[in-house]
Amino acid sequence: MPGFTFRYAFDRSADSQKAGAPGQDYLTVIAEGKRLAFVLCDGVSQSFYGDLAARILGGSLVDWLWAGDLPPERANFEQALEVFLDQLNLTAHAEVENFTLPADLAPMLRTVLDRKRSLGSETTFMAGCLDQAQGRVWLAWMGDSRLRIWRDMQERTDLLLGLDNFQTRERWSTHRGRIGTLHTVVLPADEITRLLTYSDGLARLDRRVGSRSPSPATLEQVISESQKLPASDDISLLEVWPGAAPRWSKNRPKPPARVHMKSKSGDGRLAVSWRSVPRASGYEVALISPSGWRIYPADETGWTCTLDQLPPGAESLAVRCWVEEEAGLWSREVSLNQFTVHRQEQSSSRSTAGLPAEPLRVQTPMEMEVPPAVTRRRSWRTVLLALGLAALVGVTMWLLARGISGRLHTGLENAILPPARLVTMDSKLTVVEDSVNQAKDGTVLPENVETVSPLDDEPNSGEWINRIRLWLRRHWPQDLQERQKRTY
Amino acid sequence: MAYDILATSQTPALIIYVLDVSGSMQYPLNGQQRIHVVMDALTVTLQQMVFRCTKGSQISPRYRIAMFAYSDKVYDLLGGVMTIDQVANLGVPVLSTMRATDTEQAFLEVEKLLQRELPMLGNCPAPLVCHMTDGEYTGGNPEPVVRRIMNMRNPDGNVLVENIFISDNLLPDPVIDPSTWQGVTPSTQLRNKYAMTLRSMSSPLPASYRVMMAESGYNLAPDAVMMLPGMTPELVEMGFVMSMSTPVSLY
Repeated sequence: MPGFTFRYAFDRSADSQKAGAPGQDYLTVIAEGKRLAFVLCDGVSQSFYGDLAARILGGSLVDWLWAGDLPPERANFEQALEVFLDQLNLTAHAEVENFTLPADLAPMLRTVLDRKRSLGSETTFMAGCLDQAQGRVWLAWMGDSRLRIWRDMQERTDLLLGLDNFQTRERWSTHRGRIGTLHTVVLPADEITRLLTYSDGLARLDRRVGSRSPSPATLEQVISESQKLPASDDISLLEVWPGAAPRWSKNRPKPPARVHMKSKSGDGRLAVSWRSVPRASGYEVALISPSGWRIYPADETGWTCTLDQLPPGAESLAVRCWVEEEAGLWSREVSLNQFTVHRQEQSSSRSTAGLPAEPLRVQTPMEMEVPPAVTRRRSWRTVLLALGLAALVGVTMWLLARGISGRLHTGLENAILPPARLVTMDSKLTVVEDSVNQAKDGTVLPENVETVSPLDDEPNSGEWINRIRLWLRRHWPQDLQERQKRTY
Repeated sequence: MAYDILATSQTPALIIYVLDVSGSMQYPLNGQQRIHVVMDALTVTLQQMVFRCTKGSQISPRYRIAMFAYSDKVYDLLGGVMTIDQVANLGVPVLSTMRATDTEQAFLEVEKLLQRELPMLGNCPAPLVCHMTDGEYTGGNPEPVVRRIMNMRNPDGNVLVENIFISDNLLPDPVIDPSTWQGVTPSTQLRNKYAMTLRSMSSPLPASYRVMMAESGYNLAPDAVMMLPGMTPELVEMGFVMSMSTPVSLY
């Protein structure tokens, strides 16, 4: 079956979004007929503007992979790539040296950046070219981003790419060239029926993705949750299938019911239990506070923690299950206020005395289920009112969505992705393509996970896919954001 | 007591510097005034923190800093706790020497600060107190309050106390190369009685800190304690590097 289907995702870390700063991941894809080339770079934030190296390497390497007559033997491919990377240093070094720092930097920060500049800008990369006409796949990488391959639902990453070949210390530097080992493989094209690459900002996928691809809804959920975690990092992802993409069920695993919390006097522990969900392969517990989330893996029907592990200001807790690669919906949130108060009292008493912890002040075994029994009678009215309001809001949203969808369709008819697949208005991407008549100056897409398929049945999808280049940029130009608001 | 919670902008590490600015700090250390050696080391340390926290030109607030200087009185140099990005904008405070060495008062201020801060540090790395001095206290005995501080804890572990003791001859042998030196251990022979007291008031070096120190080029023994004999500017700097060895998220 000719051609490829691929989808991609991109998002900036919570810190970068908060500061209005660019992220440091870079993802670029070129696809035409039976050939696809990609590079995913993760700029090293400890280096001098890691996004600089990511952009330089990503842009140049994808062109090299696309345009080059790639050697069929691995050793020759590796040698040619080494020469290319070494030559790229010459221009990249100059670009870093000529990079102008913002004028208003504090002296200490300027000193630090000058020191970083002397060390160069660095990035990891995962790169590849899939050529069905030649029946080969060329892959190359340095660093700890993920590059995973499957054949017929069996993951073959360890077997074909090596167990220990994804090392944090390995990267490409504008000043020092290759740091560590350049890894390459050349495989027969039929060895791969699915390829997935993502930056370490999506490390949570490592143990969640197996033989099946997670649905777009699960990916969206994992990405949006990543923003709330303490170690939020830039995120980029590309998944490629020769031929058609799998079809995903629209049914999400249901949330666990009867979430119970229990804390016995003096043991300082919180025990959470719930009713198991059929077919669930694992569970997660989220502790939710205004400053962020903590997500913990859990056993089949329970999870415990010590009360002082609750984040300061933790307001509630929710549970969800995973059914294979699909994340379920979160359960209704259960308030933690009572436990948080006890914990704060505990901390205060400990701090005041400067002594080890005193026993908890929880006097009797407590058990709580939501909604609490004592408020159940009064809450009937509230529930009915809420249901009425929810129905009203639902109808309004549905009507609004129909209106928005229609406008989206109109606004993007000449864009490069099928409008029918655009789901949300929360765009994270700017897409620039260089061979399609429309949208020469870039088109903002209202989606952060998108599937592109030349095999799609939808009208016009085959025309525009002829040759596209996607630049996933880390920072929208303000004018594009404003234009999006106007257009949609 | 794992000391393995990463310092992130959501869970920043609190580091409290307690700096002796008594009169003796104007004495020379390797041809330089001790106070200047300390300021240089502090500058390098703050720059290194900024280095670790910078992404592009944004400084992520992964460290929170408090700084007390003490002599007859205690001076809060930053007016409370500041994030590292705020400190970077402010620059390194200029220190000048004064008279006596009321170490106890300084640690009492630290204790008060920790009492305010600890309830908010549930998911953060355990706080660290880095004390730099060059001689015995002239006020009350600081040991009881330091013991209380060392008994304070959050889920990551007890509050860590580090001591940098600036003196010319604390060890029987000079440290030729700090990068290969194993550090002060409970069995290290010390020539000064107050140095022994300070060692007993120093926390064991957590394994995670040891790993971070190794990344900075230092090779400390597994049983090393958080005490540095400031016999040379390099060792003083090593002490300040230790103070910022909380595992940090590198995103």
